[in-house]
Amino acid sequence: MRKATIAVMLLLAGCGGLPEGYREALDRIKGGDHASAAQLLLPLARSGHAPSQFRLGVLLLRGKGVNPDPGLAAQLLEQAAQAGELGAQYTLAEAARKGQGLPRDARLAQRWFEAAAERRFAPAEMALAEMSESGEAGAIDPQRALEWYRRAAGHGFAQATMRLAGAHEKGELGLPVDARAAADLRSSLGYRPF
Amino acid sequence: MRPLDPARRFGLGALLWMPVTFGIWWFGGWAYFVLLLAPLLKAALALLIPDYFLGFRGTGSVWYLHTTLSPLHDPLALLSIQIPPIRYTVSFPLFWGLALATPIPWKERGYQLLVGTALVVVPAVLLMILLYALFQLGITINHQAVLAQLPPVDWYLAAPLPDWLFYLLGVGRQVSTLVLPLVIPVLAWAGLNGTLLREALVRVRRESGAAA
Repeated sequence: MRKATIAVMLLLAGCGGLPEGYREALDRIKGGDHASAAQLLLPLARSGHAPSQFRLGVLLLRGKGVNPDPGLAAQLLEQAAQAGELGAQYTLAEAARKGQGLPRDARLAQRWFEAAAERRFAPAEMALAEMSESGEAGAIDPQRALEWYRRAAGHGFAQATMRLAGAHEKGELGLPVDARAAADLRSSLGYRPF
Repeated sequence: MRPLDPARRFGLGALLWMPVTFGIWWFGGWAYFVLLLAPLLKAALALLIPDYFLGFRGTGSVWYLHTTLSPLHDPLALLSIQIPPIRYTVSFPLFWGLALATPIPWKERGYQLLVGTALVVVPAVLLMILLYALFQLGITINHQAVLAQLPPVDWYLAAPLPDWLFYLLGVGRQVSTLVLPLVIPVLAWAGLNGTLLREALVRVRRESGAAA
């Protein structure tokens, strides 16, 4: 009984919910009012609220409702990413990889993709596989690429499974040519209810 | 004329009352049940998933759970999950039909109807809808096909839930959709009519013993 009481108290203690300004800002983003959303997010981001830093960073990166400010956007996204905000980790990495609103920086991209991949986030694992295969962040490393493709495929990323099937067909990424393995991988993507 | 025994009276009562309660439910009664449940579900979701809960619209036959989840390539878009509440409210007409068919004085039937509905059926239906909503959130976050359910096309910016939690949510969804809507009303009715059931069992045993 005592344990149950403690569990309920812990549950309730963890139920702070979203800060009111943040909730309001998201409602305004949903309604397309990006300018007033940015105003609501600013004080929260300054106070260190990571989700607010992430959303405001995206607004600044894309110039939605505010003048684009890649420097401040990168700073806010980095702060949120360091606080463990997965959205910020992935968005910052993706922007740095593709040069979307930020200068291209493969090392920065790799760093934050790795942070997201540590949390089993398959899109980040896929990005790391592609970067290792193409040598975007240094030397081409088929072995590492294969590892990341396998992890992404294991976490349900269909394109990673397709790439592995293609690699089996053509004998890429250090894999032997194996039509059967390729076919098995492709068929694993089919819909199986149970 | 010999009066009917309680089991036969119950059977006949069920034949009479089930079409009535299910008819009321089917032809619009569900709308009143969901009116009652929507604010309770909203409060429960806000309490259980504070980081993902942005808002809730609980009117009509489809409800919407507004979340803080954004698609991979559009961090300014926000996901809303659809919740179909009607299927779970089938527990109400089933319990009401059983309670009204029970061969006890009318005052007691009314009492059972109120107590069973308020203390068992409403919380149970709330739990069923809650488990469905949590599973939909889980399958969106983990993005894996499971238990005949496909994830949405887009990936969303959220770290996957631990496997054990994801599969637990899957089991919760299956139980809440396939088992609880029928089992809970029957259990609630049986719990309220234990004496009646015991008497019926004793009579059946006695009659089968006499026949042997």
